[in-house]
Amino acid sequence: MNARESARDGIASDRKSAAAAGPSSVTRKAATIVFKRYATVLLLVVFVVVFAATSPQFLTTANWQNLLVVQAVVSCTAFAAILPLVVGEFDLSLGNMIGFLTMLGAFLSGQGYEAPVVIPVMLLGGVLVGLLNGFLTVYFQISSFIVTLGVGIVLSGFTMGLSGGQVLFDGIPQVILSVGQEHVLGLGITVWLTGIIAALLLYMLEQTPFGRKLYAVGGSERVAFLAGIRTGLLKIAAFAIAGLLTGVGAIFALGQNGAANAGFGPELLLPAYAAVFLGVTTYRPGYYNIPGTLIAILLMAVGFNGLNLLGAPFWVQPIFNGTVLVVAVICARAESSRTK
Amino acid sequence: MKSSTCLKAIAGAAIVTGALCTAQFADVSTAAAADDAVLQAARSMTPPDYAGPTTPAKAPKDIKIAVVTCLSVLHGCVSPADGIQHAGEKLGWTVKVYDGGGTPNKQNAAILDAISSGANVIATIAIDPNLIQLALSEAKKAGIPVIAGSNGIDTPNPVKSPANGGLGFAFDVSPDYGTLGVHAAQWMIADSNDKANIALFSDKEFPSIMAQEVGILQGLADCKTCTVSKPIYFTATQIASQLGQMTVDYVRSHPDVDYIYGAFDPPVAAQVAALMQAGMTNKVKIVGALGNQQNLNFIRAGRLQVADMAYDNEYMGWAMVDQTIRLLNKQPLIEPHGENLPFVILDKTNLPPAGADWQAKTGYQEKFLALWK
Repeated sequence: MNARESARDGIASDRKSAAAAGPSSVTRKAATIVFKRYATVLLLVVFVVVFAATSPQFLTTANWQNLLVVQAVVSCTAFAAILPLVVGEFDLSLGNMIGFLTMLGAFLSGQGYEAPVVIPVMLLGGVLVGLLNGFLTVYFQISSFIVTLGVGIVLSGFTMGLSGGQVLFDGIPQVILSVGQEHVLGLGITVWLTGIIAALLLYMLEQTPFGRKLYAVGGSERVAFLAGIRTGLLKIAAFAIAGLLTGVGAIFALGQNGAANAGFGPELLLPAYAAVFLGVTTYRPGYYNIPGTLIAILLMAVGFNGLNLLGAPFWVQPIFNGTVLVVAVICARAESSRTK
Repeated sequence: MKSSTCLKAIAGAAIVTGALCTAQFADVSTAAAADDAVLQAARSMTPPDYAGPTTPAKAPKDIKIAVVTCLSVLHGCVSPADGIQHAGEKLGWTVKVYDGGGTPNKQNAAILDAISSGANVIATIAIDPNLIQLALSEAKKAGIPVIAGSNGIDTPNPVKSPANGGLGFAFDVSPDYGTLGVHAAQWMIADSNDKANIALFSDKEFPSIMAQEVGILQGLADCKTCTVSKPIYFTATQIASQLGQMTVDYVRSHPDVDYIYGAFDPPVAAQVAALMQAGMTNKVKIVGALGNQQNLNFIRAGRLQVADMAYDNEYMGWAMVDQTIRLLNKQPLIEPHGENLPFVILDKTNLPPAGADWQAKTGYQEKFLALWK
């Protein structure tokens, strides 16, 4: 029995016992399920209520437009982190990869290349780095933790080399700048694109054989292999898609910032992983999933934004982020042991 | 006869030798006096007295100003914000400080939050406008002016507009980084008696550091007996992890180097730590910039760093408020936009008391307040 079946059986047994008990017991059970499965959503609602009550600017349209638009890059990095995690691997190169791809785009722009060249090269660059991560992990049987750490460090060197130690901002194609900075129907283009990517990933992971196989590999690689799944190939594919998503995030970042500096990227890694771990507690407890991750990103963004609007001192932000990360891990462990 | 001739010859030789020695001593003492004069000039505040604005500008009431720092754990990012806060309090303005977090993503987010908060003006400290185009674009749409300090991209420094028609700041208040660099170069030349062999470290990410580097090279060009390395560039991401070792390796492979110009204080702190760990305590003298207290303590304790280019960050905050008032009143801005921000070269002879930043003692706060009535 895998983790998903355990979770399903757990829910079924909750329903049976709830039906056998009285109405108050049913309410209590329902509340327990809601609390356990949607605690993050409840926390988000609490945050929204508290910040709305304490800051008159919090619930304004302009604030939410701003709040959402800066989450596009973090969201892409978090989505990229999910895929290797689903197959039981880590990708620690994501932060340096997004920095490298952003710098690559800025470098090519500075050399006079236009969007039809810059965008595909950034995406292809991400896929190639992902393939390299996957290949080294699968064929050399090296821990993905170590491989991706090493690849990330190598990429940081290439990033600095391309930058020449400078901030690159010359000739960024207008298409990329428009994607990063313009709005459609009241929301930033990057927000819409992030939503579309989330929907596609959700469909791919939950409605296609490919997605189910990815979860199967993550559940038990040995069993999946014995069931005829080409586990190595799927792992490489997961890393490659992660690279592609990182490329998309890099395009968003280049468009939003309008420039690239050599220090950009690594700081995105931990918030992305924090969101993914926190996402495990929501929607499909015990599984790395897209809706849960989006809720987690929103939770952290609302916290950051609300604290800023309230004028919290700068040292409160890291305490908040760290607390969210620790809570995420504790919740993930609790859910994981509950579903076993 | 022979003996008298001999005595005369000896006496003559003695006179000639004495004259030569006297001339040599005179040259040495003249050179030493000249060096002392240069050192004294560098140690004196520039400009020597208050040279800020004198035109009145009545401060509007009930202004909300949001200050976004480059990274709130860095003193140099925060102290101008403190200056804005102090000036704002005197005017009854609401001043809220946001942490830019040191990355473009967080700086964009902090400025967007400042826009949402309903600020009338957003002040940024040492944030590159090229990296926050999204936030500048949203501020423009919201009709909120964005001003800056400590970038070195506006007068008296070379004016640098963002590339490709990108958005910039209404103004940037900074010291004259070029002249500051010239003064630091003159200090090194004088301190070394015109024999400095300098390793020049720099960071191309920051326009202010590049303006300072131009000044350093211009000042050192006057010393024909000094040598200076090609610039050794590093990036901010390398400061904590790699710069220390880079410096130790450089000094080992260039044993003649006796001075290091470390560009600004955080990298100098890394260089001091690495060189001390490598046992090179007396090998080189380091010059930094920003006036961070950790670095002033290095000078105080005689730990490799010997001088620091410091400027009055409190004044920067007050000058930013002054220019903001003029901007909001639609009055002409004061030229240069840096409002002659005072600076100085600090060494062991003129350090501020431990725990205090260097500040110009010109009573500028009262002068600004009088103009704003």
